[in-house]
Amino acid sequence: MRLALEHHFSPLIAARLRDRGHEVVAVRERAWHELSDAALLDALLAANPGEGSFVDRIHWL
Amino acid sequence: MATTLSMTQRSFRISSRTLELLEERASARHLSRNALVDQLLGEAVRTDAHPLIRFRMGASGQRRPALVGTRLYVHDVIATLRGERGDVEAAAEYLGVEAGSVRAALAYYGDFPAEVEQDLEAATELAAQQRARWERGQQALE
Repeated sequence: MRLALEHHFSPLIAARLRDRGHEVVAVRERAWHELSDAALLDALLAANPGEGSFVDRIHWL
Repeated sequence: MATTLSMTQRSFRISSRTLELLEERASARHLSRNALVDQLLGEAVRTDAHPLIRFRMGASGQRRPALVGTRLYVHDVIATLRGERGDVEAAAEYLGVEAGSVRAALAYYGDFPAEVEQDLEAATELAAQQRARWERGQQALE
């Protein structure tokens, strides 16, 4: 996964981006939209165990 | 709630237990007691009439009003509502929340429009900064 779309972005956007070959999910697709920032970061790390640290690669918009 | 306002001194009586908790929290968050009281009281009086709104720390370090049980800030809801030309049901469907939640955000906006507009402006500016940062990075790869 390269990109997680925040709650205010529709899952349809994530689906269309995946159709174009991008590794992206919307937080609503994983039921992450009720999580705090810290819990979301834990979820992202758990979902990407092999990709190393997210340090300086997370941009909260 | 980022609007800069003038400060006024007042005296209040609070319980010793509340004062103890206040000092513990102020110490843990590296804030002065005055700053913490101003923040907590400011949020409490704003959310007292808006039970579906809570305050959440954002990326910029500012605490902003958000919908309970979601990752949506009030300014996100207002921006979506504008994108849907004021259609509450359409905005609710897009965001995956109940129409009542969108109305709750709108009601909050109705009470504190300047503050929410300021949050929206700050979020837009942050997004522009992040995009510019990404574009500079891409140019470095060319």
